[in-house]
Amino acid sequence: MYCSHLKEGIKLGLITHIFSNLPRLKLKYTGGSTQLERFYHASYKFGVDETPTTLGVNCMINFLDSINEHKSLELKSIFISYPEDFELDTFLEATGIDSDKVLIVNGRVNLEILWEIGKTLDTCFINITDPKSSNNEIRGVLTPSAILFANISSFNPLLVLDNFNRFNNLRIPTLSRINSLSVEKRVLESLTPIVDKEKLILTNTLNGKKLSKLKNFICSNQWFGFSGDATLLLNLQMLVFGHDSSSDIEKSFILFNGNELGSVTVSGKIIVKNNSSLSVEKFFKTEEKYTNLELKVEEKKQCYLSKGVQNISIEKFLKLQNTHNPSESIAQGAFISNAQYLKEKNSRYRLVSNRCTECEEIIFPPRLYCRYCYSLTKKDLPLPKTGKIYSLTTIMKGAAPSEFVAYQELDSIYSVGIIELLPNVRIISQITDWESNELDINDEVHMVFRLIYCQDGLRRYGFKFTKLKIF
Amino acid sequence: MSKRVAVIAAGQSKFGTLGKSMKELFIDALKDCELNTKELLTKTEEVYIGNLGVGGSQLGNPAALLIEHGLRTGISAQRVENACASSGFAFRDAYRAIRSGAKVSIAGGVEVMNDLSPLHQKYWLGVSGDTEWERLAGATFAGIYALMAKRHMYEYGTTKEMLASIAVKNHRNAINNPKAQFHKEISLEMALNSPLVADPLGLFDCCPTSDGASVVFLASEEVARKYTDEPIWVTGSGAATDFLALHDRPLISEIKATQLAMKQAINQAEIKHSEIDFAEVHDCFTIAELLAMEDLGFYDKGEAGDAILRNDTGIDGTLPINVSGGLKAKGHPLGATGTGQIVEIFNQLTENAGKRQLKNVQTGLAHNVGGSGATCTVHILRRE
Ligand SMILES: CC(C)(COP(=O)(O)OP(=O)(O)OC[C@H]1O[C@@H](n2cnc3c(N)ncnc32)[C@H](O)[C@@H]1OP(=O)(O)O)[C@@H](O)C(=O)NCCC(=O)NCCS
Ligand SMILES: [Zn+2]
Repeated sequence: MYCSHLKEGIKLGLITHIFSNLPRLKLKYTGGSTQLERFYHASYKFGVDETPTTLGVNCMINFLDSINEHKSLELKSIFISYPEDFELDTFLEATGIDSDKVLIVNGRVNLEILWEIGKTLDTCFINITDPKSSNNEIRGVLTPSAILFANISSFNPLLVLDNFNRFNNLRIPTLSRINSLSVEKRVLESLTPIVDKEKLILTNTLNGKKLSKLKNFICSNQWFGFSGDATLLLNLQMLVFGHDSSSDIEKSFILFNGNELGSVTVSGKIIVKNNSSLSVEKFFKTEEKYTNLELKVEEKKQCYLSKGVQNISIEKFLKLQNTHNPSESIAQGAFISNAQYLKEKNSRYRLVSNRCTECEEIIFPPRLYCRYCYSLTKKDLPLPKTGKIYSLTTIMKGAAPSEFVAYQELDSIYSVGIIELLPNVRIISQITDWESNELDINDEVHMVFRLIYCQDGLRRYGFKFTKLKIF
Repeated sequence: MSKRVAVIAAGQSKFGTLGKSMKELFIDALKDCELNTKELLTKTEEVYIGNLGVGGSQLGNPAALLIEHGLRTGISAQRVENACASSGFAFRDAYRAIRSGAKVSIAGGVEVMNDLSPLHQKYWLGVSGDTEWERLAGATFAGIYALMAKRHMYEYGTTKEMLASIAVKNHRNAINNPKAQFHKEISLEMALNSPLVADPLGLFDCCPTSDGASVVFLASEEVARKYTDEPIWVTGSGAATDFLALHDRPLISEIKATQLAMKQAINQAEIKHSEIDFAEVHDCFTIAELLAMEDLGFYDKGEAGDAILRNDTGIDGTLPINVSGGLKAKGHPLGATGTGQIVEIFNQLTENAGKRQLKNVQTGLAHNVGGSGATCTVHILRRE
């Protein structure tokens, strides 16, 4: 069932009713909610090879990976708010989501409706805002304002809120199930109409014990009261707490501090306090507050944002839009029909290989015959999405094949590597988001879903690799 | 009947940016042959023309077209396409035609590359890999060879200086080749500081884009004896293929097809490596010459770099390589390159190589690679 023009004012009870009775319903809502737009406007490093579709896919893949670890959690619905050119088919193909089994809500929906859905079903919310519709100045931003409300009803798991306007440029590097919800007070206040305050755990009430249960903890600058003008993109500051599976609180996290990135490893007890007068340095230096804290800062090592987090000029942004406009794309290039390409979408979108049922060898890219024993029988086998650079090069300005010229003009160079995913299972791929001098043989890289190029009126998507797992 | 196969005439047009059509270039190559080709053409039974499609303008029937411009019709003529190894394979076909009874056959090649718009050229170059994967990753041919170079550097400590030294040598050699595209000496510094095309390969690590044609007449022993007292014999012919995509190969710091083709050729010729006096190898990128030195078996893996620094392969070295200037400096009109190498071997063995003539050479080797090593031919030629 497909329900269009769901009015904002529709009774929540009715919605809940529809959802619980028709879990396969596809709902399209074409109205707008300024509240929502304001709420989920995140700043995001928008690479030249990204489109709203890739943002959505990468959010989703990451989410799916993280809920896979929690077998009890089953994805039942997805809310996607997207601009016109979000390609839902590609999204479904690239994420492998069966639209018959998952409720997909398209369009912009009132937050209250979101909430209601979330209460009813385990839901992943992905909000992708069209930068053109933003009345802020262009900040090089397309927003994956990724919001995850998983199992909200019990309020055990996760809420990641990105860029509530006052969250200022929070960038969400990893979407995962968090066992607690942490929200800054001011944000809490703005949430008041919809959220039951009692169920929230404030950041500053987290103690070590609770932190240890956190899978990933993502927070914005303001939570820690970092100094700096948070509205400036270059001053983006964020902490990400990763997790070590041991029961001890032993966490590594990456400190994002605008362009000045460092990798920070922390072990020991961490008690996080909300103290607006605390600067980054102070935060880490006041050791008496954070007992047994060991701090190691590797300068500019894991610098994911080196190329990206900076304002893209309006000029460049418009050019980018053109490049992503398939109708503007050049027709010349190595031609592989879209039909042929999509036949291989499992391998091209999701790194699915073939495993020979006779000799057990892994064949990637898939072939008709097993290249080792000539057997014709095989099974699909998803490959690990993390691999190592086996060799690499950088295609310099002016040296790209014709169909990549437009793309290359935006960034002037791009890197191509051979990635080893398993012993002797290798694939050629672009390595994105990195300056070539930051890459080397044996570096660990992770798969991301990106735009490859536009040709003959089509956007062609596929995998690329990047050094830091960020989506 | 003798099964020996001789090369009795060989010629090439100038290579470079010439503003000539494929027909004009082919006639230039015919005219460059020392023998009266008019008479030979009437005796020709089989024609094989290496060609990559001249940018798409003559994708069909180029062999018949060229040979009728040489004023011969009514015989079997065909295009042979194996990327940059097209005319290496054309030569092998012409060789086998003689082995199977033909009296005279022609192998040749032609390409016009420099009359294309830059965008067209970029589209057309680099469609000889596994396009469905390599091209879709945005890789160019320079990029593919760069991946091999980078890995070779990682595995064997090969340096950019070793690669650049190859370019310096081949540019120096080309000065003495009037048919070469470049006649400018370059210094090691210039080569090392040339702008990057695909890291770690710079401009001077790359062959240029070239127009040109080459042609070789092969004949049976009986016919050859009538035309020349000193026939040049083809004593070994080898050819092999490999996975097109680098990611499908167990190793990318070697070209397996070269190793296999060499094994066939040298076994057939019944000689040792030490008996080969000089070689024209496929140096579309400097790393390709280094790989060839190792994969042909002249040097162990990882040893070629030092040999280059010792100038083993210079014109006065123990094994002169690419005395013609190679693809790097003589030029690389794709389809014309394989038989272009044979022209150089022929000229050296018949002592017609002018200022770059090597002394006392008996046996020469031609090594032609298609794409990044998916196809390869090796031929060994010897004078009586
Ligand atoms: C290397 C390459 C990218 C350079 O192309 P380009 O940047 O367009 O070069 P241009 O034609 O603009 O030439 C600029 C200058 O460099 C010189 N030049 C070009 N290529 C050169 C080369 N490979 N070596 C030395 N000099 C070169 C030109 O003569 C010209 O000099 P000039 O200004 O004094 O006349 C191009 O030649 C190429 O793609 N080569 C590889 C061809 C290939 O892939 N063949 C198949 C191999 S398997
Ligand atoms: Zn098998």
